[in-house]
Amino acid sequence: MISFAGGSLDPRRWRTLQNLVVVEAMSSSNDLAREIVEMYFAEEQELPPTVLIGEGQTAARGRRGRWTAEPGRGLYLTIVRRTGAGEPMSLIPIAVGRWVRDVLAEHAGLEASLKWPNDVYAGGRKLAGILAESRTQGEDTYVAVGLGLNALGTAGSVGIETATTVEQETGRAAPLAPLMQALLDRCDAELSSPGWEREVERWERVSLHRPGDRLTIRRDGEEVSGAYRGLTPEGFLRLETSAGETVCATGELARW
Amino acid sequence: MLSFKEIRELIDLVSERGLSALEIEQAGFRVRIEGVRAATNGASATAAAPAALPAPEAAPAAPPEVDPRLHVITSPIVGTFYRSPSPESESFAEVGQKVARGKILCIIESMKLMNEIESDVEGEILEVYPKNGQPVEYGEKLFAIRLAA
Repeated sequence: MISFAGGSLDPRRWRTLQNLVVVEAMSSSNDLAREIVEMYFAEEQELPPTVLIGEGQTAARGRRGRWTAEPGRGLYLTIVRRTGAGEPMSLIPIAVGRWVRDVLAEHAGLEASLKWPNDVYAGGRKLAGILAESRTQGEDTYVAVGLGLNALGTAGSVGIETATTVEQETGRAAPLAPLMQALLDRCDAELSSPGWEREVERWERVSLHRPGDRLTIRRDGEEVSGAYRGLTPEGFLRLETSAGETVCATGELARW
Repeated sequence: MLSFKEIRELIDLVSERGLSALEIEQAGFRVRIEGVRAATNGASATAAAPAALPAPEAAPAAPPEVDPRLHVITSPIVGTFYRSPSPESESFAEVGQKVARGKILCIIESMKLMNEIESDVEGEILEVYPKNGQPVEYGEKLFAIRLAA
């Protein structure tokens, strides 16, 4: 057992995740993952699947820059591991988003939804974000999936107008350690018996988007709008535009 | 505060020497590391390979490499090819540049997953195949590198 946020975590039940690192204060768990992968590559060593938790992060990284993750307010972590042979990289972001969403439903009774590809939303506001990064050298790819989940406090305490918290949405201030344990147990179970081929269908069922919804993607300074038609087997967004179907593998969903 | 390198060394200690857990406390700073089991540097550390998706559409087949000193780096994913970390910054690598193993050559973004591609050899860049911002397919050629003698 290892102490975390006034409670404890038990990594012994995991089959795939092998190391658990809890640091009270760090700059960014994705940065730590990156440095560690670099060192393992340089020494041609293999890094076992590792969970890096920063109880607080002074320079947590999101897609739109850095932010401060206040200790005791949420779950801030990175899971770093080598990908399996043939693992479909493009499905990792949508899969992890759904695992987080399912844990909130089962553990906190909160039915959140997913905005493409992997933002977790509740009540029209963002509850959790994921930043996935990977590094490939020859045949080896390490992927680091960072998660920031707002758990405690009110929407106003997050400091971002469009964000919310689990406490705000459920009216309950649930302790962090059991939620973190449930999340890591779920990630371990999914990584131990992956079902990548089912991820798209499962994602579509709990997505914010319904067929026919008008979505606008911003990519490379341009906007593409169209009717939502679901995802491709790779998890890419299918939009029916006036010029026919467009498939988006990248870009920011600006309006939905 | 411990450096990343020190944290990494602690991870090694826990996972390679079979220690169950390790906790270090300094003024105002604590790190705890727990290893589920002693990892050997072998296959047991890797998750079982998942069922494969339908094969991505094959990229145009690369002609067989005839020059043994020519090394081609291909894309591990479908996504968008970027030669620099941001539009304002310089390219990671240029034609004619000598690169070492581990040098980042480009980023391929897919589903907001930023995949940094490193050189797995030492040599000189002869060609950069895709243009900046261009979509690339799985297996598509990215760089040709002449191996260092």
